[in-house]
Amino acid sequence: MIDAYLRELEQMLRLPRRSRRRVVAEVRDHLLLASERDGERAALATFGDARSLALSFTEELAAAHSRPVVWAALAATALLGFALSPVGLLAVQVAATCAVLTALRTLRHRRDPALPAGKLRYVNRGNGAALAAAAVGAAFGLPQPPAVAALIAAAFGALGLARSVRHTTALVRLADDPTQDDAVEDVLAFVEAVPLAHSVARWIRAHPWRLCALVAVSAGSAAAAWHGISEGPAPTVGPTLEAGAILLAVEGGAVVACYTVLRRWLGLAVTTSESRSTP
Amino acid sequence: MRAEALKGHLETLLLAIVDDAPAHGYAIIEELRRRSSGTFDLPEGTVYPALHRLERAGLLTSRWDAAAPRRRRVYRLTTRGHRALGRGRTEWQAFTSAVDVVLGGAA
Repeated sequence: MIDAYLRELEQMLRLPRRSRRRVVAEVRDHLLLASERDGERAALATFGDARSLALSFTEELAAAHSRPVVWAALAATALLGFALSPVGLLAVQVAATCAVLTALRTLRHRRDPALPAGKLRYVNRGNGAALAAAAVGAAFGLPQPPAVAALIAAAFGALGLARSVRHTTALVRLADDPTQDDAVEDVLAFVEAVPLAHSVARWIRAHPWRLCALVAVSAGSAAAAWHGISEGPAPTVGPTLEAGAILLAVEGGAVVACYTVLRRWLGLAVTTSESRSTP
Repeated sequence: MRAEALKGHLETLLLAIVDDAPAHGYAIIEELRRRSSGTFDLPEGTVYPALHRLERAGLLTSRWDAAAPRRRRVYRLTTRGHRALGRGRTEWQAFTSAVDVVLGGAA
C-alpha cells in the first residue's frame, strides 16, 4: 500500500527531479515509521491523500516561479519608455497597464506562500501580455540601445513565464476546482488602504467599468496636463485647451479600447459574489 | 483541530519544536501532537510543504542523517530561524493578550 501511495505521489508531484526524489524519500521514511506503530492503513489515513500533498507543493512552486516574471515585465516596459516609436507609444501603454496590474496583484499576495490556480493563470496572462507588448514596441524601436535592452529583458521574462505556465498547468490539472479570480478585487485592496477611499472602492466594485472610466479620465488628464506644461504658456488659451481636449479624448479612448479587448484576458471582468466578499 | 485553524501559526509551531532539538518530519509531528495533547492533530503530510517552505526561507536547514537505518532528513533551526521564532512568540503573546482582554479572560 505504501509503495502504491508513493508511486501515485511521485507521479503527481511536478517538482524538479531532485526535489521530487527528496520529498518521496522523506514521505517513505515517515510512512514506514508510522506503519511500524499503527499499521500501513492507519499510517496512510493520518498522512493525508497524495493529491493534496502534491497540490501544496505545486501551488508553492508555481507561485514562486510567477513572481520574478513581473519584474522582467516591468523592466522591459520601463526600458521601452526610453526608445519610443509610433508603435512603441501604444505598446508601452499596453505593457505598462498589464505590468502594473500584475505587479499590484503580485504585491498584494507577496506573503502568501501559495496561490490558487485560477489566480496564477491570470497573473501569467498579465505578464504574457506585458512582455508581448514590450517586445513588439522594442522591435519597432531598434536599434536604439534601450530597445535592445527591453528586448533582452522581455526574452528573460518569456523564459520565466514559460516555467511559470508549465507549473500552473500542472496545478490546474491537480486542482479540482480552480478559484474564480477577480483582478479588480486585488486593485481595490490598494485603494482601500488609502484613508477615506472606502467609498471610492465601493463605487468601483459595483461595476468594473467604473475602474476603466477612472483610469481613462486620469490618463487622459495626465496626457493633457503634460502637453500643457511641455508647450509652455500660450498667447491664447483656446488652442491649448483644444489640444488638451483632443489628448484627453485620444488617451481616454485608448484606455477604454484596451480595457474592452483585454478585460476578460486579464481577469478584470469577473465579479462573482464570492470574490466581492474576499477581504 | 482542522489544518485551516492552524494556518499562519503552523510555521512558528514547527520552528519552536525544532528549536529544542534537530528532528525529522515524523518526530516533529509526533512532538507537535504530544505538546498540544492531541489538539493539533492535522493530516501529517501537511507538515512537509511547511518544512520545505521554512527551509527555502532560510529559517531551517536540513541534511540526510547518515546514522539512521533509512534515509532520513533532519531539520535544524538556523540563526535567522531563531530570530523569526522570537518574533513569532512576541506576536503571538501580543495577540493572545489582546484576545483575552476583549473576551474578558484577563484580570
